[in-house]
Amino acid sequence: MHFARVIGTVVCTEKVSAFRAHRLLLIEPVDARAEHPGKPLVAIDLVSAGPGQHVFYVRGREAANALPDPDNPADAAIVGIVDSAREQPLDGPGAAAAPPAPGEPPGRRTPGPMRGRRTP
Amino acid sequence: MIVARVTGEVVATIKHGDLAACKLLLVQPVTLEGRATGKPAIAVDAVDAGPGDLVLVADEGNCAAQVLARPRGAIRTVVVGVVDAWESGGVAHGP
Repeated sequence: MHFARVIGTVVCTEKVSAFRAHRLLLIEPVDARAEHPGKPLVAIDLVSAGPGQHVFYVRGREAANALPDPDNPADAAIVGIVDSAREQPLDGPGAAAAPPAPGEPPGRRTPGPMRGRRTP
Repeated sequence: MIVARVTGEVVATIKHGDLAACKLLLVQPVTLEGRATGKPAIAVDAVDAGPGDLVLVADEGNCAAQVLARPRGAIRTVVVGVVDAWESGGVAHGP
């Protein structure tokens, strides 16, 4: 699964029957901070996402499996809306393995404040 | 499978039913030297890994179905192991 931002909708009157009753959204792959957009693609919306929202999507056969009837030709599907994504950038060897703060169990960090990325 | 570093966690209230009760980790593929390589991904955690851990990630739907003991669904990327150590060319490394 990868992050993306919804940048628009796609309307098709004529489409394969398996896509009926499904919304098609135009998304652009982004990073955990919803920055650095990549090449846009069209994905089936399964979570009622809206324009501007930070979502995550799945590609390949699993996108088709995500639809109620897996017998369909989908190759990308939006499967979640991001509430928050905490990222610790990986700068070099061992950079992400910084020792935890005192009193904190190793390898686990208490959740920080929610950084909402949803743009209604 | 690839070796990756867990760089964060993703919280999503609204998500596909197949992802219900799954912990989502942000994983960055790394080289044997520990440098980032390739595009980060969101993976379902099957081994109780956490940020900072060096992990083994499988990016295939059948792997995910087997590890999570469920029929094939919307999940494709799964964390299937926490790397303790590795050896290459006679040189031992630790995470």
